[in-house]
Amino acid sequence: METNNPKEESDSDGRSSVENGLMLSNIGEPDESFDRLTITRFCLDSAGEAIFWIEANAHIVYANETACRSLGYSRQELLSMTVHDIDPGFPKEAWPEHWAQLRREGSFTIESVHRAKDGRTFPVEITVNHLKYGSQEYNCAFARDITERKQVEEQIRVSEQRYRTLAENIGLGIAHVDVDHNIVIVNSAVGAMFGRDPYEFVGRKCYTVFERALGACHNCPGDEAIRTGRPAEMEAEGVRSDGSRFPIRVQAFPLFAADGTPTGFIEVAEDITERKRSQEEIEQFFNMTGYMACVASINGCFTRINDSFEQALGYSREELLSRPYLDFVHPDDKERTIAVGEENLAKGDQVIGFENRYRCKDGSYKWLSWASRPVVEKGITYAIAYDITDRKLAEEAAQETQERFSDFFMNAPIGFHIFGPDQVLIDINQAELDMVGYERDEIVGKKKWTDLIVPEQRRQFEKQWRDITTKGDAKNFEYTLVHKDGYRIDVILNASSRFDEQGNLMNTRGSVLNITARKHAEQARNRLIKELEAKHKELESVLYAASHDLKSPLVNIQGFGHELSQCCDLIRSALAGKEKCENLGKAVDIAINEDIPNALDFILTSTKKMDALLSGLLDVCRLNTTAVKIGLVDMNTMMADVTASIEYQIANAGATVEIERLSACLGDPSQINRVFTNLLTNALKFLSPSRPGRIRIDSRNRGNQSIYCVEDNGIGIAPEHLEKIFEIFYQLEPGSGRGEGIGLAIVKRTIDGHNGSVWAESKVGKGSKFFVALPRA
Amino acid sequence: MDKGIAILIAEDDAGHFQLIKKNLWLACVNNDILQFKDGQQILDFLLKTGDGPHMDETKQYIVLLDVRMPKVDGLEVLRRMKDNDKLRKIPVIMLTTTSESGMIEQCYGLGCSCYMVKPVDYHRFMEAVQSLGKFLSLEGLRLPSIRPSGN
Amino acid sequence: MNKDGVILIAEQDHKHFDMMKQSLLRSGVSNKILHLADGRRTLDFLSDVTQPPDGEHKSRQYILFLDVDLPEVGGMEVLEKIKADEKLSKVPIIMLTATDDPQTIDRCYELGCSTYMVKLAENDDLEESIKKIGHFLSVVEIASIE
Repeated sequence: METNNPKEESDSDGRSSVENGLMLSNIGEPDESFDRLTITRFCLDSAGEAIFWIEANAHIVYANETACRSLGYSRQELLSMTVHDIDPGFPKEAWPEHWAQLRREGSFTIESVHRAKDGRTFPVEITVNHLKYGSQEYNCAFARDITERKQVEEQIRVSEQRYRTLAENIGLGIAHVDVDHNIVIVNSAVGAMFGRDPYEFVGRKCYTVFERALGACHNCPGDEAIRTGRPAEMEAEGVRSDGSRFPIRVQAFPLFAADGTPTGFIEVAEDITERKRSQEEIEQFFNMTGYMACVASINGCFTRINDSFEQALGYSREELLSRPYLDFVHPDDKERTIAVGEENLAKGDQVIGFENRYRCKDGSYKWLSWASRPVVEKGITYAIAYDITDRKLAEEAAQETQERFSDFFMNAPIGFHIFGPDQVLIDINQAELDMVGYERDEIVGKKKWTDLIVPEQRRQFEKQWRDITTKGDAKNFEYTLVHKDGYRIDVILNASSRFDEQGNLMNTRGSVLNITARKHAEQARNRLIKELEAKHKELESVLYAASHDLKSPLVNIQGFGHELSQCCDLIRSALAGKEKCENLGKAVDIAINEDIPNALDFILTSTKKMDALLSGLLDVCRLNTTAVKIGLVDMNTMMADVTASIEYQIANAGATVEIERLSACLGDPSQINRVFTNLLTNALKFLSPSRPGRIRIDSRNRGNQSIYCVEDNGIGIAPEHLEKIFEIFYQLEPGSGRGEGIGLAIVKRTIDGHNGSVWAESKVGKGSKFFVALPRA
Repeated sequence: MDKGIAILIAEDDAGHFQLIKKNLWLACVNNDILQFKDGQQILDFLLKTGDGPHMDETKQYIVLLDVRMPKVDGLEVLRRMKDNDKLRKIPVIMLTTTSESGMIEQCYGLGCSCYMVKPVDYHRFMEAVQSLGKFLSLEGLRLPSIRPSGN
Repeated sequence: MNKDGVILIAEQDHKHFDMMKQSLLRSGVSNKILHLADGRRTLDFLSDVTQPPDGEHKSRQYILFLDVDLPEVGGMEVLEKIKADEKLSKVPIIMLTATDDPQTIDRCYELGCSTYMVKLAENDDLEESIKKIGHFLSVVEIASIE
């Protein structure tokens, strides 16, 4: 039906002619026109569109079936309504303008909204045509219900908006490119990525703009996508407007027309600078040597390992990736490794510090310490390990050293202890516990060093403590410990201190050496040395005395020997008749009868003297070598023996000997016998000629000694001699034949050897008393 | 030496005495020689005590003293002599077997004139005694008087 | 006298000293012989000797020949002072002087001199005398002063 250019036709009657007017213009014959009219009417009525004829006053003069149906009015109703009734958005005031526009333009299309009888509104597209039929002007309007179309439009709009929003906000660059690589449209992200206004891209070749390339990239993902029909991607470098480059990841999705011909592709570009950087960073970390990094899958294999992994274990990458990692774990550690995998990693818990052994290619094992981070959802675990073999070895060595030290500390034969900064005992070994006699729990944490030593040394220790806490050590201090049972132990303490980083005292460690035995030995040695020195001095003096006393006779021997030789010379020359002298005969006579005998006498006497002196000397010296056999000495029986043995001398001297009851003593019986024999014979020698000799022997006790007294009424001894008489060879009256002066010397030495003492008291002219003190029995 | 000077020899050993006397004679000492067998005897003589001979205060004396003597030893004699106002002037010559330095110092400390050791070797003995003799024979030798002259 | 001993001659006249020294040496004496020209020097020397040892006075044995006539301090005073000193009193002092006065002689013995020798006029005799004295010294024991 032509509606565009309605012919102006005159018509005889009203509406119906207008109705028909249109159709009539093309009809020739009136019969034919009735058919055609019916057909036309049918067409009009049945047209899919709602058709309205509207007069210039907006009244509806005709509405077709569709119109009625779409609005829900009857034809009658519609023919009584105006446009404004059915188009609520079209006010009466706007009608003149509309009609004017209609006249002007003849035909145009508008969108509006119709309201149905039931109040329902629906969008319509109305094409209005201006018709003049005779003098009447009509608006022939064709209205299409565009609800669906509107809906579709809305859907499309919404969809479009959705995609636009997405495209704009996705942060990814999205470009629509046609098959010739012309950019159709880009989103603003592309603009931002490349530093350009997005509109600059449109219409240009994608490779020019994105890569500043002269032709399409050889691996253009768009081409590939089109070719394969599936999305393709690549990584490339984009070039910004300022020339700087940045890495991008491009995905291309092919677009096809309905018939399957490619129309172009959508490119989604991602600025992967950050990602690349992150990746690089991760790569850096991942490949850091010294740390073994890996990714393992839930099925127990490594999926990715860094170089250090290979280097550390010596296997190749293929070897390590091809087998479950448990294959490499030390048999003793497998169970633990499995356990940690099941209990921790499988649950998504991080594991840090897990240690196990991995076998190296050469068969040796390395200790590794793991930090693992499972991502259960991905079924993988990220892990780093580092080689702690050295540390483990060091730990083992330290452990062994610790054990060795501990063993040593505990079992050493010398005492070890540790005191805290408050001087209280922290630790102590067995040897020192034994020294002090306490149990460990009696003193550890309870006692201080000062509690263990003798009280008088406490001050010394306080001084030493100052040294220990400041200088750090103290060496070779002697202390006396008091055993729990009360007896004393001499020790040497060596102490050293340990300080922390701030210089505060942490503890002092000391070694304690029991020197009691050594001290005793030292004391014994010193005593021995003193004894030896004393003995030596004595021997020296004996020798000295001897040498002098022997000189005297030697002077005579030499001197008179000379005389003898002179006499012989005289006689010789006389016999030889060489000398002629009156007195020669007399001289010879004197020589033979006086000088020679005289000289010989002196010589012989002197030799005897020397002999006696030497014997005496030997006697005294023999006292040194004879062992003293200490036993109980019954002095009464012994004195009886002595007096019996010198009975003759006693009788000869005309003396009497009285012996009181004597207490027993401890000594060597034979030597004691000699002592009293000497004392008695001495007494007998020095009796006074003016009275009968009386010798009395008694004893008394004093403390732990028995003191015996040999008293005589002889001539006595002058005070200046009283000490000297015990000296060897000292004679009160030399040459008087009263011995060689060794008797008393022997007495003294013997008694000294018995740890006793001997001394004399005397009054000249009255008598003497000799006292002997010996250990009481 | 002036004939009036007497030499007092306190020596317990008879043999020593003889040898000394002989060697003094060999050194041309012809003076009187008085022998004392122990310290007591010579003290008695000098202090004019006891039964034996007594000193003549108008005479001049030299004393030769052995250290080791019975009863009173030479050291004691020396001490007592030097303690005595009259006797201290008399020169005392120690003539003894002991060469012990302690003894020598003690004797000098007490004031002896000199100290001589009797050598065992007879030639040296002779030399020593004869040296002494020659020394005592020196013309220039002067001895003190016990009683100051003019009294 | 041992070989470390020192012979001191306190003598005013140097020529006399020389002569004496020569005679002593000829008698076989090998000891050091020192000349002290006056009493002051004599006393000073001996008091030095009692000080703690230094290189100079190593010897501990001394014998002194003392002339009565000495300048500065007279011989008698020297004798007295020496014999009064505890350490020096052990030094034997032989008076060797021209003075032949009995009182002086007595006094000297009283003060503790060893012997008194008069220097005789004739030189020959003096030399001989000194030689004999030298011989005598060689057989005599001297105490060490400490």
